[in-house]
Parts: sequence; structure tokens; C-alpha cells
Amino acid sequence: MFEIVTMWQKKRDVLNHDVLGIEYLNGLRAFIERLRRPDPNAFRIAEFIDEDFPMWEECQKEAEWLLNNFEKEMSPQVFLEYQPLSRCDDGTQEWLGGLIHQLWLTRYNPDDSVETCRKALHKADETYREIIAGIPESTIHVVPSLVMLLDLFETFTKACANFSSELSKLPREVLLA
Amino acid sequence: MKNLPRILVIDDDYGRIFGERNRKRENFCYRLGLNDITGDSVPEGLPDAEADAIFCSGQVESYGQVENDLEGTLELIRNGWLEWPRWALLLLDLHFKTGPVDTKGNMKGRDEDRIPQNYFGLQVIEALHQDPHLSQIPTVILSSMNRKLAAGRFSDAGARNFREKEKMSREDFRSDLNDFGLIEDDAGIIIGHSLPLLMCLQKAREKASSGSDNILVLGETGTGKEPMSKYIHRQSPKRNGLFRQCFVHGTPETLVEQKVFGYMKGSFTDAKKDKAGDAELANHGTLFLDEFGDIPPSVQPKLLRLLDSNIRETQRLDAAEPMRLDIQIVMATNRFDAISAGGMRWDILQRIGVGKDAFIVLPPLRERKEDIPLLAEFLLRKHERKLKAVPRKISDDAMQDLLDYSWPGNVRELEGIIATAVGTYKGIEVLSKTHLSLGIGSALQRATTRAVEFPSGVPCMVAHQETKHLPVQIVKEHAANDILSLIGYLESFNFDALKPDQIYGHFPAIQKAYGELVARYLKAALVATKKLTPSNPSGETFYTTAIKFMNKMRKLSGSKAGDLVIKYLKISPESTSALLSDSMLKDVHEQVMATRRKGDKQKKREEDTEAN
Repeated sequence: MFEIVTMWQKKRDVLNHDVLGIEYLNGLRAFIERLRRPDPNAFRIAEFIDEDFPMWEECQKEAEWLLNNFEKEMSPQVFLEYQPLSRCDDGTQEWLGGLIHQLWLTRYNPDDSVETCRKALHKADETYREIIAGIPESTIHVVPSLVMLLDLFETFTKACANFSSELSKLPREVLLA
Repeated sequence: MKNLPRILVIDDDYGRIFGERNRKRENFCYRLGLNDITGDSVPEGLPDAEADAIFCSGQVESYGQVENDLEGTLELIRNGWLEWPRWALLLLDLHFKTGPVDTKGNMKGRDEDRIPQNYFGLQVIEALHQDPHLSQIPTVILSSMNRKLAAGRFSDAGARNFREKEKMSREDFRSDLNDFGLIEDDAGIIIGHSLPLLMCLQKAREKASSGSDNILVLGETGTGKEPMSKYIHRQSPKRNGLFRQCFVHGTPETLVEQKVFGYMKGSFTDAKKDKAGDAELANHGTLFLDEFGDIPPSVQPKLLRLLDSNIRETQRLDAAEPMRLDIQIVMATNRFDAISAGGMRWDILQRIGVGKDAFIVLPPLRERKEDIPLLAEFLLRKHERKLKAVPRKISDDAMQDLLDYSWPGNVRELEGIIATAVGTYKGIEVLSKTHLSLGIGSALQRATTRAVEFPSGVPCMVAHQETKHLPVQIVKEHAANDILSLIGYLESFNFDALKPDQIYGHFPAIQKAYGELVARYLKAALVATKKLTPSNPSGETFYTTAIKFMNKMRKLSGSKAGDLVIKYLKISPESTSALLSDSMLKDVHEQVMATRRKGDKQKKREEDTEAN
């Protein structure tokens, strides 16, 4: 048995671990803490809204790619791209790849998990758009209006965390069965 | 200003600085309430921080490539652990990315970094676990990786908890620091920051966390069992309730029950009105049973229902109904025989819990000498204020004497010495060694200690192998100068090699004290070697086993063991009758005498047979 690391796995790790976990959710939670203070640090708050908060747009795109490509990238038919199965002739690769993929779809049924993730992503994105619509264009002296959006920021944080959690439930490895 | 605990965070993302700031670290600090004192950037500054934090990436960077650095990481941990202020807690990431760094300071990491078997965090915690000097560092895993992939390994290596990096909140951090961290008493009542003390405080907080347990505090005389009991109360969910202290020691047996459980009007001649017992008065708070080992056997059955945390019932004398209580019970004793079943019923011990982790054992001062300067300063200020004496400092020589001394009377003895020095020399500004009366107080204290003390190491006769006998000259020298060290000498003397005849008759008071000491050891050994079975929960004593235990012997005949029992009980003939008033010693003495009588009869029969 050998282990392969696909592009999908790497991208999922980067999005979930590095970007969403360490950077985005970390920043979002700190931002909420700062906003809750009686004497909020206006500079840090504005800095987050201007530079960090919009990072969601990138995350969302990356997440869409991951969900759209999960079936293709994580199907065990990718083993045919690696030694020793890559040595099979084209005809064998075609019928064997199709058979492996169909068996995997039947046994694992990835559609349900991907759909759950998609719903979680959609919920987060919807809340993000709602917040964006509520943020004044200029972030100078913006703190009071952001405080008004605290509940929405909290809902967005939960939705983001939920999406991250659902995404982490997708398999870590390419499963044969 | 309050000293904040200092923690170490080892994390590749938070530990590195690229440019002037690390915003990931800033956000993490803000969320957890950490005051960043790493010194590699300007921290945001928190007015109400929970802890000071030093961040480290655990890696080295060279020519744009980052590699993990196990040795350097361990060195950093070691440097901050062996001396105060030591790490109160270690937060350790699992997955560390290595390889090239891009122009923005980000790293993609190598494929092998993400394989759980290769997690650098696991290598660090396993190395800590294997190092006897570092294995006690409380470590919490902080990661955004799937915990299941490495749970077995980090648990085996002693990790106290696992926290998801992005979800960890200030409350989570506070809870970990409280539950696992090595932190000082923030009320400043228990003074010190030595490792044995901090570990003891951590255990106390752990035990107090439910607020409804029975907690036994063991410690030698003067180690601070009462302040520890109050600390447990303050750290428990019962902190807003009453702390009710119940002294059993010195209370006549007949009154103990009334004191603990109370009584109803008319239940005895002087019961003019209903009276609540200490247990009832402690309801919704903490009941502190001081000198728990002195609770007489007659009261112990009633104590069972109170100690049963599922029942927690108390019943006043002659009351029709029992009353259920919501209390935490803290018991304290300096008697190790109390926990080894000799003084307590087996079922009571079961309710307290058995095993070394069941008790809080207060370290004696000789095992926490690091705390002596701090304690001495604290006590000096206290007594200067109390006695209206001038402020003073302690000379280096005097401090060295304090550090070199063995402190048999522990913190209480230190306080006595400081108080005496301040009271006697109110006007001096430097306390020198001539102002300290080391040893005198503790000798008196020892002479009046009536119970067997909890041994800090192997009980009874710790071998002093190099000395084969106790010359009268040594006794004379010590007696002239320092009674305390003589007693210490006797205590640590190899029992086998001792020739007590050499001191007999020369120093009657010492001989008497020594006789009593040996009798206490005998009793402790009898208790420690009792055979306990469910059918005989109070246990059966075997004097041969006890004597072998005292002398670290593997083989010993019953008759020789009997001879030694008699010898030990008669070291000081004038004390023998007093010693035999102890029921356990009396029983053993009778057993030996009965065996001897039986042996004599057998011998006589054999002689008669031979003569015929």
C-alpha cells in the first residue's frame, strides 16, 4: 500500500489549516474581541476591515474549486496516474479507472458530504455579503457602525467555522473503498 | 503589580516574524489574553492579560529555507524551566511547515511535514517526556490538524490537553492554565514558586475543581496544611460558601461527634437547645477537618455517610431525620498511619480515595529551599509590621545558614525564627547569622510532636551505611551544641548498625526521646505492613513482617523479631509502660510474650522428656 498526496489534499490543507484556521478565523475572532472592548483599538479594527476581512472572497473561490473538484481529484482512479498502475496500457486504464471510480461512488457516495460542505459555504458567503452591504465605505470613525454589526460578525464566524469543520470531514486520504 | 505566569508558545506560524509584525500572533494574543514579551516586535499591550507569553517557531532559517530545530527548541525550553520564572505552561503546535519561504514570508511546507508520523510537535513532546528534568512541564497541544491522527502519541507523551488553534478562547486558555499550569497562589497567602510547591498547588486546584469531593491533605508539621485547605476552598466552586474549620485534635472523644454533627435539645444533660454541627454549618461551602487522623473510631461509622459524596448526610445527635448537605470536605493530617488503614476504617479510606494521586502531599521546606529567600522576606516584613520594628535585610551569611538548615519544623519553624529575631533585635537593620537561633525551636517542636509524621521518603530507618556505630563522643558533641542535629542523626541512623548501649544511661532525656521515636517507628511499620482484606478491613498486624520492614531484612525468625520488639519497647525503661498504653503496641507486646510463654513451655517439655 502506498500513500499519495494530491493537489486537492494540499489545497484543502492550506485553506483549512493555514488560511481559514490560523489566519482568517483567528483574525475574525480577535476583531470581534477588539470590537467588544469599551475602548476599541480603532486602528486595528480598521486594518482588519480594510485588509483582512475581504480575504473571504479568495477563500470562497478556493473553497468552490475544492468542492467542484473533490470527486475528480480524490477518486481512487488517481492511483492510475502513479506507479505501478500508470504502467497499465491505455485500454486497461480506461476500463479499470471507470470501474474503480464507479465502485468508489457507490461505496463512498461523496455527493452527500460535498453537498453539506456546499451548504455551509453558501451560508457563510451569504452572511459575508450581508456584512459587506452594512459596512460604510469609509472605515474612518467606523467603529460604532461596526459595533452595530457585531451579531452578524458572530454569525459569520460560526458559519466560517462550520464550513471549515465540514471541509475537514472530507477524507484526508484517497480512499480505495 | 501582580506577577503574571509566563508561558511558552512553540508554533511555526506564531513564532516567526516577517517584517515588523506578526499579525497572526497579535490576533492570537488578543484572543487569549496574552502579553507578548518575546521582544521581537512591539506588542499590542493588554491591560488585563492572563499571562506573559514568549513565542518561538522551533525552527531555523538559512538561505531562504526553514528547517525544524529540535535541539535548539529543547535548549530554549530547558533554559526557561530550570530557574524561576519557569514556564507555567507550554502550548505546542503539531504540524510545522519546512522548506522554502516565499517573498511574503509564507511557506507551503513539504509533503512529509503533513504526515502525522513526522509532526515536529510530536518529536518535541516525546523528547520532553524522555528527559527527567523536563517531563513535568505541563504541555497543551495547540493545533488545527485533526487530533485523531496523533492523539495516541501526544497522550502517551504526557500532553495534558488538545486545543484547536482557531477555536481556543480566552476562557479555554484560562481553564488550561488553572487546571494544568504551574502558577503561584495569586492571593499571596501560600508563598513560593518552587517546583514541588507549584505542582502541589496545581494538584490542589485539580482536586478542588468539582467542589464536592473529599480531599486529604498530608504534610509534616508546619508545612501549611491549613493555608492549603483554604486555598482549596478559594479555588473550588464552593468559594462563595463558608470555610468551616473543625478541630478534632484535643477534643475529648465523647465531644467529637457533637462537634462534627451537632445535637438536639435534651439529647444529653447539658443540651439545653438544638445545636448545628460543623458539617451542617459548612453547607454550600467547605468543611475542613483538621487533624483528621485523630477522629476516634467511635465516630468513624457516622462519618461514612458524610464522606460518601453521593449521600453527604449529617444527622444531629438524637435527630429524627438526617440532613443532606452540599459540601466539599477537606481533611488534613500529619499522620501517615491514618492513610495506611491503621487509624482509619478501610471503608473511610475508600471514600477518600486510595493511591498516591488521591492525596495532596505538601512538600517539606527542605524540599523547596528555593522558596526560603521569598518566605524569609515575606515573614520579615510581616513581623516588622506586627512588632513595629525597623525594616531590615538579611545578610548573605544569614541567608546561607537558612538555606543550609534542614527545617524539620518547616515553614512554622522559619516563621518562629524570624519572629524571634525581629522581636529580640527590633532596631537592627541587617539580620545576620548571630541573630538567628536555628535548631532550638525545632528541637522543642520535635520533642512535643506526639504522632508519627508522614515520611518524605522510605519510612523508618533510612540507611546511613557509612557509620557503623554511634560513639558516645559524637553524642556528647552534638548534645552540647545542637540537640536537633543529634535527633536528626538518630533518625537517619542505620538501625542494624546501631549500638544503643553506647548511649544508655549517659543522657536519660535523649534516651527517652529516642525510645519514643523508635516505638513510633515500630507502630508505623506495624501499620504499614498490615494485611488488609475485604473480610478484615481493619487489617491484621504481623510483627515479624514489621520488624523486617524496619530493618530492610529479607529473612528473620519469629523469635528474633520478638526479641527486637521487646528491645525497642524497652530502650527507655521508664517510658515502656506509657508506650504500652497504645493499644497497637500493647497487642504486639502481648503477642510476643504469648509466643515466648508457649516456646518456654515447649522447651520445658523437651527438657523433661530428655531428663526422663
